[in-house]
Amino acid sequence: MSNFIVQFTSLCDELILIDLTNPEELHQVQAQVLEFTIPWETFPNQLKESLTSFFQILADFKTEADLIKLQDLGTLIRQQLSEINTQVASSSDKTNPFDFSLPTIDETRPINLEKILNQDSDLISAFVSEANEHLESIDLQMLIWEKNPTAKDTINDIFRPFHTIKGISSFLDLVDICDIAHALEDILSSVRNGQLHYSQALANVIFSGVDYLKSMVNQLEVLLGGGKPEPLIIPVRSFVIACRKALGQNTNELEQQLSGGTSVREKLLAAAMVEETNPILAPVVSKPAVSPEAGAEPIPQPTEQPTKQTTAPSLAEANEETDKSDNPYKSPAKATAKFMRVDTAKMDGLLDLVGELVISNNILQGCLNHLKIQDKRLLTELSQLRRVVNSLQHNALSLRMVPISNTFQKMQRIVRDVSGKLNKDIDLILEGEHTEVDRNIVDEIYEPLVHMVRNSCDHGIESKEARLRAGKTDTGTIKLSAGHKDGSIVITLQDNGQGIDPERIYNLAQQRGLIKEGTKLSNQEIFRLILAPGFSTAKTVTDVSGRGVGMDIVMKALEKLRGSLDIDSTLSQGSIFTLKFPLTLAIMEGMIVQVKNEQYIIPTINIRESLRPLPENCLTILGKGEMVKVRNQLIPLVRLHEYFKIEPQCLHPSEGIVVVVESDGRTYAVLVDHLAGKQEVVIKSLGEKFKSLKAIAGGAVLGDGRVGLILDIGQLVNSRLSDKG
Amino acid sequence: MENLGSATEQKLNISGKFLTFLLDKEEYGIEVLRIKEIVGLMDITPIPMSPNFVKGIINLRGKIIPVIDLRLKFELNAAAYDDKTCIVVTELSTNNTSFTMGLIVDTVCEVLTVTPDIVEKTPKFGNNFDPKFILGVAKVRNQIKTLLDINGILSQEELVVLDSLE
Repeated sequence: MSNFIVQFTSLCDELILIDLTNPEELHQVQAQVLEFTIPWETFPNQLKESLTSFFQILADFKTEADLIKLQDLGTLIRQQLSEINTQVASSSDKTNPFDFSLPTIDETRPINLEKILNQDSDLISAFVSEANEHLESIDLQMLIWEKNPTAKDTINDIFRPFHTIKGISSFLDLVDICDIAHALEDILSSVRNGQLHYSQALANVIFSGVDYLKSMVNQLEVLLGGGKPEPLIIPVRSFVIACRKALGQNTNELEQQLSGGTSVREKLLAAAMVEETNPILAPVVSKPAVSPEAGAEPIPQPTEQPTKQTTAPSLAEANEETDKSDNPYKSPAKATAKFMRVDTAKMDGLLDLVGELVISNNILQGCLNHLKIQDKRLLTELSQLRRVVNSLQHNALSLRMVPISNTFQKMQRIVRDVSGKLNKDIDLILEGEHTEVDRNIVDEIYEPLVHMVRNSCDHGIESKEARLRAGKTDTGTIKLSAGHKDGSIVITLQDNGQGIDPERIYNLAQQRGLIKEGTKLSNQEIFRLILAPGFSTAKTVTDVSGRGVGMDIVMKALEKLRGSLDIDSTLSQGSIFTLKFPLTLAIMEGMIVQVKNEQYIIPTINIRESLRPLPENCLTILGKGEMVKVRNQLIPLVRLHEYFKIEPQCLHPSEGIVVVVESDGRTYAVLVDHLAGKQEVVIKSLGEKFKSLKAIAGGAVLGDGRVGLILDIGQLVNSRLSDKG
Repeated sequence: MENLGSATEQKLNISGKFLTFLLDKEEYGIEVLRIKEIVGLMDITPIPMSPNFVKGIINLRGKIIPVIDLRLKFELNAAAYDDKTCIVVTELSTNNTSFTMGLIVDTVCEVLTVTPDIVEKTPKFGNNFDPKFILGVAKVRNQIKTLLDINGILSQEELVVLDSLE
């Protein structure tokens, strides 16, 4: 019954959109009717009559007048159908229970998407980026739906992207992706029709389906990039069968094929028949005929229809909105019209050029000062040029800026999953989602955020009982906020959980040999200990965390972003993690230092201070390790000239300058000849050939046109450590 | 032309245009298609911990490219740079990725059109000189010009000596 309603509804929708000049389309619509399973016996006479005449007109379809008749009749029939449907629904139990169980079928065949590479790679990459967007929006909408299961709009918002993914993937012959998207679409379609209602189990099935799709799309992306992805094993068939079973549909054929029941020849025959009856469906289903794992004949599906214009609004909607313009499929087009997709390579090229322009402009201004030109006209024009270049740079940089909201919203999903696993109630509050961040940073920050959010859920927020005992509400709160501060981006993650116990950390660190007994540390320093690799406070390693790699990953990522992390915590009140990093990765502020004739750039973010030490403050330990005493703190000295094996100008620290740098929580003093100034530089890679030169992060064109080398302080310090160790 | 190849084994099927340049009084050639441009000597920023033939990096209109001294690379005598010294900017490729590199040569000479009939196989020297990256020897007006497989020579090269870290 409900199948028929959906079939009929979408048939009517297609009639609206049919192109009368194209007889092909008409044939397709007519052919669809042959697939209908019509439960005549349950219909009242009036409906039977209308249906018969509807099919009659459709079969003898000739002119536009017929079309209008059909549309009127279609609306009438749909009204009648929905009346019957609501009667049926109210008489029987309102909802079918959603019973989902994966059949135990051995599916170890890795997903193979490689054949896709024969196709137009532009199409595929467009699909990948689109699918990723859709999957993200599904995640987001699902979370909204979970909070408000009765919202009709939300279901439509979830349904729509699945539908698009199904459509494009079937067009591109991505059978596995198409099958899963299709199965989920069916489930959602039942939800729209009111046959299924929200349940945790249902949401979990959809989420796991989304995860399958994500990993397959991800695989596609790797393949497109020319890489070799890990073999991926996804129980596509079992998943599809389980979905269909849950919807009470026939799955015998699929199951038979899984166990290898039908012979290849029979399948080929079946496929050939399908091809005859429905030419558009054929590409989707004829493929499985060759690969024995997949279904050979389409099981009549409510939404399995030509991919181009299938709109299947639920019956309730059909009643409410007979107006065609209220089609839910239209809204995304409106939203995307304001944006333009641009290849990131082009964008990076533009930014590079703008960077060049800025440098050339600086050089030009430098020349002017050097030549002491006084011509008024020239100076005005040039200052005008400088203004234009500066605003051009500003604009170009903003092109790369994207709101951080996407990344933040992904955290909602993480919190949902993790809190479910841990059996905690956790609310995630997002603030400042519209803060704009460089695209590269957004990509880089995702992973560390995941780790931090997971940590907060696991270690920060207590179990429900513990919270109640501590006199808190049983629902924990995690607040994730973003904002700009002093030319940097600041992201804070705050929880109202148990906080970090400095004593416990201290003892643990001692046990693990991270600190020596009796070392005096401030609370801040103790908190930083949790960032050490392999340090985990979790008593047991769980699925969620406790392996001790998490915070280490966070630190690695931060270093890459030239960012910093602050931890503050009050016992039993909660913890605050503050991440700070620069607005953009392309431009960096650096201190130019000189060793003999060579100029090196030290990122200012690493620099604590620079000074010329007094001779009595330079000490050696055992005649080897050199130290500099800066305000009663002993700091190990690194001679840059020694490290890079170049001739220095000044040998003793008291003749040169020591730059005190910090990285990874360690402090070092770097000896250089003198400081040559501070400059904003555009960072350029030195290329593959110098990749193994770890202590140098890249090069930058300086004001005089020469290239300066940018020091990677973290690596410099680390390699020094390993040398000594 | 066809029977030339079979007439003597010494002839190689190499043809096309080659840019020739001088290194310590000897003339060498590189396929013109590999060459992007020729620039005069400019300020070179040395790279620490690199082998002696790597002179450093230059800023070529905003792009940073490594520069090597071909004399030192071929273990010829080092010479002071003068106003004839040039940087030949070449486009090399390794496994699908291409990169640009500058080669310091004494001076550039001409663009030579090479036909298979003037090229001979590299003679065997008997010492440990590796002729693998020499395409052949072109004979022109009583002179010989060594045609180099510049991609083969440089694409394998690691420009950082990690040993020097210790």
